[in-house]
Order: sequence, then C-alpha cells, then structure tokens
Amino acid sequence: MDPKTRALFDFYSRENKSDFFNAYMYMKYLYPFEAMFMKSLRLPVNPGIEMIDPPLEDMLQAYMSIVREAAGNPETDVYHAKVVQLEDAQKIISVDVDLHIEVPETVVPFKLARNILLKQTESFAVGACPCRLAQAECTCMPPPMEACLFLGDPHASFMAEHNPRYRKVSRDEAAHILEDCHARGFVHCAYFKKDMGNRLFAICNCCSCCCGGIKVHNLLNVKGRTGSHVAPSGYVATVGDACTACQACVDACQFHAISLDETGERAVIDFDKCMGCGVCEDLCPGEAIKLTAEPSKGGILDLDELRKEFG
Amino acid sequence: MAMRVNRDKCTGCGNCMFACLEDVIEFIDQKAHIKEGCTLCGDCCDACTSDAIEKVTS
Repeated sequence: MDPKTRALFDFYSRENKSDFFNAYMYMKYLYPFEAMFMKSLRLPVNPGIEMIDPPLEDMLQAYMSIVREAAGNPETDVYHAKVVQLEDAQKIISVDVDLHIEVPETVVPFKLARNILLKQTESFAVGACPCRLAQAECTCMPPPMEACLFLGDPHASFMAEHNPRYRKVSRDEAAHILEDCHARGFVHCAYFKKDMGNRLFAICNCCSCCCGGIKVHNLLNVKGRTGSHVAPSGYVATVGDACTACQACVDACQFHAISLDETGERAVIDFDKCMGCGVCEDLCPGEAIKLTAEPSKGGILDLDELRKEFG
Repeated sequence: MAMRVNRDKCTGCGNCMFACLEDVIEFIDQKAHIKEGCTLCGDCCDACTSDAIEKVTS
C-alpha cells in the first residue's frame, strides 16, 4: 500500500476503521464532491472539475446524503465548523507541542467531532478552495485560490500526496495564507469532521458567495427554524458612535447581519445573525465596531484557554 | 392531491427547502410547511432524509 494511504489507514482505531473509506473518498475526490454539493444547491458548476466514473459518483452521492441527513442537529452532525477570529486561527496553527484536547460542547456545540489532535512537528497542506473552484464563476480570489488549509497528519500529508491540487506548506506559509484571506474579508472557519478522526482537520477561509457551508447556513437561517452546522465564534459585534454609515461593513458581512438603522446614519448589527467573525471590526475605516465575548453565543475556541483547562 | 409533511417524522433538516424550485417551503416551529403554489413535482419527497413528505389525495 502507498505509505501515505497506509498512514491514513493506521490512524483509525479498529472500531472506526470504516471512517478510513469515507475520509479517503472525501479527500481524494474533494473537488467532484464539492461540485456535486453545489449542484444540489442548484448552483452553476465549473465544467472544468474532473469527471468521475458513475460508480464513484454514486458513492459520493451516498456519502453526501449521510452528511446531509445528520447536518444541523447537535446530536447527530458529523461535519461542522466553528467560526474563529484570525488570532485564534493563528494560535491553532502555531501549536508546537503534542496536543490532545476534547473541546467542550459549550465551545463546539455538537456531540460528535470535537477533538483537537495536533503534534509537535506539524503538517499543513494547502489547496485551491474546493467551493470556489466548483463554482462556475468565482470572483473572490484569483487562481490558485489557496484558501483551504488542512492541518494535522496523516490527513494533511495524504492530501499533499494524493490530491493534485494540494501541496505541503510550512507553518509560516500557513500563517501568511490566513493573513491574506483575512485581508480579503474572508471568515475563518475551523472545520471538524467525524470521519477525519472526530477532530479539527482544516481551517477554511469563507465567503457567502462561494462557500457551501456559509451558503447552507444562510439559507437555513430562516424564521421558524434553528440549527446550523456552523457555530458562532462566541463573540458578537456592536457598532459605536464613530460610525459614519459608510456601509463598508454592510457589504462585507458574509452572514448579512448588518444594515443601516431607521435614521440611515448608523450601522446596526443583528445580534442573532452575527457570528462574531471579526471581519467588520477589522475593516471599519473609523474603528467604530468592537467585538466582545458573548457567553450566550457559546464559548470561544481559544487554544490558550483550552490548553490551560484541558491540555 | 397535495404534498403533506408528517410533522412527527420531519427533523427540520431543510433539504426539502433546497430542493423546492418554487420556493414554497417554509418552517414553522422547526417543521417544514408547504405553502400555496406547490406544483406537486415531488422534488421535496426525493430530498427528504426522513421520509416525512408524501403525495396524498387530500
């Protein structure tokens, strides 16, 4: 067996061995998977995404249906994201010791897939963002659209080896990628997945026009319905007196949480919709927006705090 | 004929809402509700992950 595949196979305990097949398929055929997902959302798909044989397509469809069935319900969800601030994303990639933390449900509000498993000698793989590549037209990022950061072995090394669009990067490069994405106004999402070892496996840098996860979150965030696979960061943003109603934040918010109030002279942030991503705070020209911790929105994924308590 | 949502089976996953081309599915108390304008295409049934929607002679 190929050594990276072997390493992936060996990673899974005997009782979770079947997750190896899910992970293998998901990682190797990530782009067709995303194209399939975009198609299911009735979005135009990039015809350049590689074609796969019908039997494999059937397997990916079945896999997608498993994920969709479990999605959004805290008891069953197997694939979810925690919105994180740039600093918290940087903390995650800066870990240089062996770390095994079971993140509490107050922070990652799902029963399954809440672990952080990182090793001292860390592996990072970056690739073209599958959601953006799967879209027929993405204008958010020029090629190579490197906004998808896998972290932790054996998965990152498997991606770099077996997915032609992914490559190994250093910790510094990974940090630089996060900075670049932040400057583009992208939301940092720490992704956890059951079949990737019940753990944090990637940091995505998302926008609502392209990202499948954010799209589904926004589409399902409707009256009469609660439950999303994207958890808020635990911060909430508020607008202060320095606001000049320039509307930069209104346009930039990927969760459509910001509008102008009745006077038209101040931006106002919808408390329920705000996911505490920090994009508005950093791009407000007048520094009128501040993020503060809001316990009712859940705990913050702050690795320093988590290590103190659980590491 | 009408599409009917079994509220005991509906999990509120939202797949039907994505599938509906006519945009006639909304949520009330976490359960899918099909509004007027439904064309009985059945896409919602196919998309439903918990067998909660069926076509019935009302």
